[in-house]
Amino acid sequence: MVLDGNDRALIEACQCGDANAFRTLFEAYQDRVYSIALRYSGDPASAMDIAQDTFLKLLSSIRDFRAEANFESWLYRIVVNRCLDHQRKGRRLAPFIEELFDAVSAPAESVLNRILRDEEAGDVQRIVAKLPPEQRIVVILRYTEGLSYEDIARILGCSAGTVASRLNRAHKALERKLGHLRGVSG
Amino acid sequence: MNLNLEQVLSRELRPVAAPRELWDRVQLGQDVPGPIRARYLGWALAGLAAVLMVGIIWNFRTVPVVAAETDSPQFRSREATEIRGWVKANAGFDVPLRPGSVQLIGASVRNGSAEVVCRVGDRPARLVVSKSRPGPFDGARHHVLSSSWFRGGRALSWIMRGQLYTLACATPEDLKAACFLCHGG
Repeated sequence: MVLDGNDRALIEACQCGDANAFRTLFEAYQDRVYSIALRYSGDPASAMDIAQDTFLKLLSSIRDFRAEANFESWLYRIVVNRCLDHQRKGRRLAPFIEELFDAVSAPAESVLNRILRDEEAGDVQRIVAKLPPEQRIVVILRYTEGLSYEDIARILGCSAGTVASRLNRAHKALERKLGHLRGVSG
Repeated sequence: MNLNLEQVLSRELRPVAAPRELWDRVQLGQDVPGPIRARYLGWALAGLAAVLMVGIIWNFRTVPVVAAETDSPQFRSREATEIRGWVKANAGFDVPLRPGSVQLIGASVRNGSAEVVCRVGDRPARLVVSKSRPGPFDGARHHVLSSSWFRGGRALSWIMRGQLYTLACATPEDLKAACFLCHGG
């Protein structure tokens, strides 16, 4: 179910605390919110956290939503901010995991390394998840949501030129890292 | 711009359906005020870490001294498929053993853990597997938890597909070779 962008009645009902209206809104947008969260984080558990936070934020701040604004853009901004927040929180843990991985990889030779690397080969999502946050979110909004440069710019609060520039850098990085896949070549 | 890259990205990053549990999570979040939620999260993470550590220690505890080969497995076989079937029947979960260069000796099931005994080269090695609690590392990837020297041998622990694995071998080279237990070759 996809809500019409002009369906203000439902949003107004949510603003008045109507639980059924919120459930309807949730059902309309849950897949989109979860998809962005999953593609951004690359991890289902993190995606659940991000999606949950997004809808809780939506619930707590929907009264602040202005009728003349675009609801989808407003919701996208919430989920994007949740993604970036999650990234910042996760930064403390990442080095520890990388150290563990390095500790395993360092003394190991071909077999163990090969097995671990084989799992990554062709794993587009993993590689996308390693892009810098500002490039990654542009890639997700472009390819998961199919948004235009202008829409992405509106959500991120930057110019369409900046979006194009970030996407271009992301494409180049991805082409380098995914070049081994069939059908992806520079 | 590379059209193939765009096609790959559109395919691999396509939208997915949200899990049914998401609504429950949102409702749960509504019931618990924010600061308390954060506190619960802290306790939950601490609990998860404790469970993981207990699991690792338990696995280490059940791994006999690698150099010793005195105890005999409950089920003796050199066939990966036979051992795999026996473990599944007795432990209730699957250990994806494959025929390969590692010389299998047998397996035992104790306290919910399956222990596969084998030889790598001339030295004994063991793979201990148990079910792990549901968590974020239930996918098909090796999520390495620790790699350490243990009782004169090398031990590597990881979680994959909801199971906790510990592989203990006499040397780092044996550890690599023992990967063939499940990866063939």
